[in-house]
Amino acid sequence: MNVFAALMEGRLRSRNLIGTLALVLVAAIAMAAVVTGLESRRGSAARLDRAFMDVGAPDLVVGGGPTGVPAGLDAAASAGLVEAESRFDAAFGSFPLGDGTSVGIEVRSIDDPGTVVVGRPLLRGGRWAESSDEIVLDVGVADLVALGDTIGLEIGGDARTATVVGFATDLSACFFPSCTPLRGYTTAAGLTTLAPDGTYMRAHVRLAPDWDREMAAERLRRDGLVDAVATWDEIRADLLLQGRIFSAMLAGFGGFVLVSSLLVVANTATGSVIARRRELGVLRALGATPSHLVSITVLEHVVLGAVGVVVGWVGGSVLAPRLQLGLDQLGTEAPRFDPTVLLVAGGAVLIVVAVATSAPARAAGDVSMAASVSDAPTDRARSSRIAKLPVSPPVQLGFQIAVARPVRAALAATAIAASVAAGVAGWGVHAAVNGVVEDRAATGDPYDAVVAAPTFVESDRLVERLEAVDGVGGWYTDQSRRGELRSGGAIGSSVKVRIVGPVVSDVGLVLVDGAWPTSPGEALVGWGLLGDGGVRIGETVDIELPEGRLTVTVVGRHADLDEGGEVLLIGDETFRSLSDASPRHWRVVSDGTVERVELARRLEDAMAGLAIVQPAADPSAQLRPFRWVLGVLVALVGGVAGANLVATVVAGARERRREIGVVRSLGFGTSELCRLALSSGAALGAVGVVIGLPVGLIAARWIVSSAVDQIGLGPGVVSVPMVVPSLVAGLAGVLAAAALSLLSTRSLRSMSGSVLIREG
Amino acid sequence: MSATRSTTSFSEERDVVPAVEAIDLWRHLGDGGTGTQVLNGLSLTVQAGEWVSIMGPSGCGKTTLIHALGGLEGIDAGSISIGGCDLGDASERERARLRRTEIAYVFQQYNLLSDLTALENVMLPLRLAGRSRRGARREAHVMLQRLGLEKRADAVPARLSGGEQQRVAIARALAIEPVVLLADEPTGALDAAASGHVLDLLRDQHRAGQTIVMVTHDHRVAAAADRIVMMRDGRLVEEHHLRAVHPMDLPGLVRLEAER
Repeated sequence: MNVFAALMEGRLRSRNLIGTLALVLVAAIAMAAVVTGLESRRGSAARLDRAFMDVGAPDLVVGGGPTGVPAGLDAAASAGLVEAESRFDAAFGSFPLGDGTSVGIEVRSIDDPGTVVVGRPLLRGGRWAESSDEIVLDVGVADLVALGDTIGLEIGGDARTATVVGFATDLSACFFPSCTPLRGYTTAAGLTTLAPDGTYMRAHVRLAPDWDREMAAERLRRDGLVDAVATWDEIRADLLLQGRIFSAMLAGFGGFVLVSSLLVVANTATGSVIARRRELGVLRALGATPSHLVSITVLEHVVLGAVGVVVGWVGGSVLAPRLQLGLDQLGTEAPRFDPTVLLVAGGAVLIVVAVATSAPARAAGDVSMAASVSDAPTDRARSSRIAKLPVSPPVQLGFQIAVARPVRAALAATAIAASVAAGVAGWGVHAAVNGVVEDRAATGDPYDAVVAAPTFVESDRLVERLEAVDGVGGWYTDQSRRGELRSGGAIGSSVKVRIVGPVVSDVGLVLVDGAWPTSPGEALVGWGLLGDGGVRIGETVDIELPEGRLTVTVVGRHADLDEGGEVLLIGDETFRSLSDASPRHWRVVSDGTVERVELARRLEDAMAGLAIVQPAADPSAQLRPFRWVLGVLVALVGGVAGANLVATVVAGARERRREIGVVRSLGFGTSELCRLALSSGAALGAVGVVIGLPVGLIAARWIVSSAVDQIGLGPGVVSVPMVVPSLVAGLAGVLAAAALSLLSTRSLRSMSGSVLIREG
Repeated sequence: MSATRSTTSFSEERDVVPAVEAIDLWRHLGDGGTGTQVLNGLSLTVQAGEWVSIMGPSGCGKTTLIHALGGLEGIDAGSISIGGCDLGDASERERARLRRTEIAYVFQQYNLLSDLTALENVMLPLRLAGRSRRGARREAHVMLQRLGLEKRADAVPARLSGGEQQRVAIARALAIEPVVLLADEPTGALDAAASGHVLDLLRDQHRAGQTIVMVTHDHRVAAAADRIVMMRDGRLVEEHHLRAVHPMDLPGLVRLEAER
């Protein structure tokens, strides 16, 4: 044991600093990736559920007229449905974003937030409004407005002003900008000032213990006294949607990080064995056995990896709360340092380190005493084909060097391949996410603005006004119900039923499989019902709605992100067999001459208070967190792959010191050495690109496929771009490898040839 | 400033200009007080066609001198000219050009490029000197044949014995017909038989007019030269023209020098 400890100490003392740092850094990055993945996956839902309980468990969010909502809630209370509730008067208006556009805002009256029992808003900065000219704004606009600013609002067609005294959020819908309208809070007197012409009502309901949220919501809808009911399950799913997509992407990119880490460790370990070949030979000459050398090589890397594991655990634990996408309005949680995660994830990373080190460790054990001590040349692989290439001697020698050590070359090429693959996958995933979010048809919501009218407004009158607006290209109605779906005799499951009209095929949805419904009794479904839901195209299913039972035949699949794609869509004609209730929501599509915000403004003018108008959410704002997270992930993979490449190239350069000195003695000048380094790096880069491109494309497809499955979009909707990312990543891979190779010989080029030859 | 030479070519000058002229060389290695003054005002002139052996105790600056003569090692002061071409003020590019055309090295550890075959190792300086691939191959074959290595032309260094590797290294050095061959302990890693073979090769080249500057510890090898210079503490302290010394006296001469 003393021998072992002495050998180990000697090894650690004699390590090269760059190699040591690369190993620790890579273990830290791998650990941080694993910890971040674990913590963010389990952290988001748990955190949201904690927040839900903290604000008084608002099981349902109800909206409607100032008489309908109280009546509906009273009836529900009589039926024993309500355990507690909070009501707010509210008014709808528009809020200027400062870039010439505006967004819908719902201002609620709260005199004393302490008295709100259910769905209490959370103050995130400043204070609550105390006078009628003060307002607390949604924290989602905190980067646009400062405390103390006087803002202008437009409510009921009139311009109003208020002073911002605080920022807050609540759990009555998903957060701005993913969901609109954004929320504002003022005093009762303030709301009267802002909206003197009347208000509507919001209420948060905590259900009695016996009531299921879906059942209770259906009961309220069936009474017809309230206009809208959203369950916490729906809101929660919306809030966690970004996190679900992120988790799917993290799983894919996490794989890259681990594979890249394995390569880096293998490379640094190999480099370390090469650099200390003579030392290893001397150790054997002094009595160390091959098993001693294998053990200390593995242990040395595991010990250094353990340092990285601890660093990565701390870093990942700090980073994880910031990666709870979609929950940023709840604030950043304090990091949680979970020892179990340290043990489990750290163990996994150290196993990776040990596996990656095993081959170089065996090589260390096999080092020949005589050869290493006498500096005998190594019998390397060489290609006679390269000798015949019509290129200059430095380029030819560079190519020979690139292929001289097949295992090392393969490791370096794989490092480049990992970088290229990460680049292609990152680009592909980003383009695919862009495509989904920006193409509203692919999300199942191909509209630019929505018009919601109370029940007392006649549909014909509203449509007449709507169609007269300049810039309206079309419209469709969209109502939704909860229904119980029975398929193939299975026990029913609760699904969202969309009822669109007047003609389903004209709405602008994307039909992925099958055919459009053309006659009553036909339906489309989202991927969530086809994939995991067990429904097949061509199957006849029963759907139990509040209005009665429908039997429909599924004729196709449409792209729909709502509720993870667990959506059944029927036409107005089919629904009319159950009810003659007219739709209350019109989704309006621009004719292409106006943007969504301007279209909403024109519609609002045209409605003149008859209906609430909201522009569709800004897709670029929805993309912002994805871009950030993708950037982090690609940077992680790129960082690891870059470290790998540098470690490989530096190890190679270290090994080549004497040979560089020799070629200098033969007359290689700076330009020849540069050409040698460039050709050697470019050759490795080209091999890496050839391997990395297909891997990257396959990975991108897999990650995108996994992500679209997670969000319920299913296959066939999103395409992963291939040509441009492949070209760019391929070129970048070759150039980066050549440039790194050139950089790695920079110090050698400036070093005296005498020193290189003498010290090797 | 680029390397300077007179208007006549090297071949024309060989008869009139010293092959190597080093004047008042100074070189300090390491930091300040902890460093070593390895060249201490050393001057050495080697005439064209002359073979000079440099001897001296370890650390006296022999290898630094021979590396400096080929431009592999810089100097702090002094001047070096090879065949009339001043190395002192030459740019790195000029020095590289001189190493491609006028100066050749043979090292104790052979230093063949392990990724190239024997033939390719010999071809490399020829290609660098501007020969076509075919021309370089032909000349390299001839050179290997002269050194008795034609059957080992396609072997990589790892498959060659030490003696064979050194012969390939000599072939590589002589292929460009250099003005001066700088040899650093060329037989230092070889057994007696291989040493003898290498020494015979050098004698043949010398007879053909090759200028050789050789560092060695071995008095028998040194005795093959025209002149032996003794170094100590970075200076030349003694020189012996071997035509005036009986070979039998040489071991004692060297031993006396080492004891000073």
